[in-house]
Amino acid sequence: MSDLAIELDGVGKAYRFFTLSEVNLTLPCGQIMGLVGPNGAGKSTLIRILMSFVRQDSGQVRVLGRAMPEEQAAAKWDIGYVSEEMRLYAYATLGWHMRFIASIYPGWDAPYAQTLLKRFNLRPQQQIKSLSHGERAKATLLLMLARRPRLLVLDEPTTGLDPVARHEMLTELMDVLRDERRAILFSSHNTQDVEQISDQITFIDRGRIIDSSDKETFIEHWRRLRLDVPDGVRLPVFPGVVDVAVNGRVATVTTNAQSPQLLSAYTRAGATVVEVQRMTLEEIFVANVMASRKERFP
Amino acid sequence: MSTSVLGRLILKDFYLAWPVIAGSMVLGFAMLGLALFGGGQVTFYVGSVSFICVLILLNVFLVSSTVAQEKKDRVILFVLSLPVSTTQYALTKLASSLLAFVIPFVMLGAAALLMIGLTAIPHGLIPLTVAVMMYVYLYFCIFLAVALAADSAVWNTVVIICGNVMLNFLIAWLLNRPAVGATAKGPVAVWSSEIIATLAVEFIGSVVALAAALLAILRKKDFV
Repeated sequence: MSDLAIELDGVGKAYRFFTLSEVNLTLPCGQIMGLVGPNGAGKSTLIRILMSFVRQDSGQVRVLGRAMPEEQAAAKWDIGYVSEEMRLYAYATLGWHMRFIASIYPGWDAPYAQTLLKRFNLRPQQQIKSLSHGERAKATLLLMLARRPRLLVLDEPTTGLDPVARHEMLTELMDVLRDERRAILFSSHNTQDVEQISDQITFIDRGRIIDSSDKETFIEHWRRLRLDVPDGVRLPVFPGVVDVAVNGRVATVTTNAQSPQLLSAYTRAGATVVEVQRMTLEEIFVANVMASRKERFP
Repeated sequence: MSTSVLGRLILKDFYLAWPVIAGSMVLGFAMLGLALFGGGQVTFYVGSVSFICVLILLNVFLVSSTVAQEKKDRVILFVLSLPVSTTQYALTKLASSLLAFVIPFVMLGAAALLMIGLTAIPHGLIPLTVAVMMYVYLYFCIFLAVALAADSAVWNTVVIICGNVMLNFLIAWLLNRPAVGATAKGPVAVWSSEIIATLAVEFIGSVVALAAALLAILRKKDFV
């Protein structure tokens, strides 16, 4: 059995006004990857290719060791998919949906489903059309989690949820993560949610993967430096510096290669390092996207 | 394992379409009763036209709710997340829609023909009735094929409009054929060459529409 839950090798898909280009990505079993990108970045397209809802024009996709889309039916036995866009049958009850899923999956965990019903304050007799957006999102999560899938693919599951519903959903996902064999791919444009549960983070923008690493590496390597630059001093260009904004004598440098050597190099160049700021994941995400765009469209 | 999943999907579609199927059967039998036992020419026309309308409504509601609406409402994402391939999903849609339509259609059609055969209604109407029923089946096959192959509300609407308009032309055209119009009120069913040709075109059209739908499903790359 493959140790990789997800393998994407040179995956591309072209639409009339959007192209997903040369995506290479791996997610080992037992890891949680946050896929972060602005609206229209290609997160959903990538996930739909993973799930074989749409077929890639080029490249190879393997999920849980199975080639997609050829072996999609077999792979989907072990995949739980939830999307913000996904809807259930409006005129059927939640209980009907639970029985329907249970009739398909022999591994349906009925006691766990009952626990989730109570935890999410849902009733099986409720018709789906009578549920609020938050309740509907929790209902789809319940239907997915009680199958006990090995890979969870979540496409913006927290979008549009109120803070309480979001908290409930993320708490349940954190609970799922105790099972170390499970892998999760979690897409969102909300970096807070991603930061909360992910081991690895992948940034995507305009159909390209622009960076992918573990969370700690991002947090440790990205810094914002405030420098005092006297008149006549020109700041040298160092590798890993993605942005320099100058306002009078104050220069703000954003780098993805923070090191004591970098600070020494600026000091040697004549600048004074006033402050070294840690960056939040959101700031790293924005800086990364802007740097990538500047590089591709100077 | 996968075969049982496909069976579950077909049963699920039946369960969800059941109100439409049951409603159309109740209405269809009621309209048939009105046409055949209403006692007057007006009730006969109202009943028979309403009977055809019920069959058309069954067609439109069934395809709209089980195929088109599922795509529009994004319930398709839920179904496609189950252990089936996208092609299997589309094939189960084709199968469940066909069954859900054909069962009430055949029952209502058989009842209509039986009633004409057993009552004083001129038996000359039987060929015309069969041709119109067969047209409704062709209309259903084309609508189902378009709904499965194209993700377009516009195309669905075009088929509905054309399907409804063409029915009027078909009836008018058939009644103006001397071999059909002249014998429609007669005591004996006359299977003229025009009726046979119409039935052949309708049958071949239905087969071609379903074959085209199958081909489109097998070639389709993107399902959402």
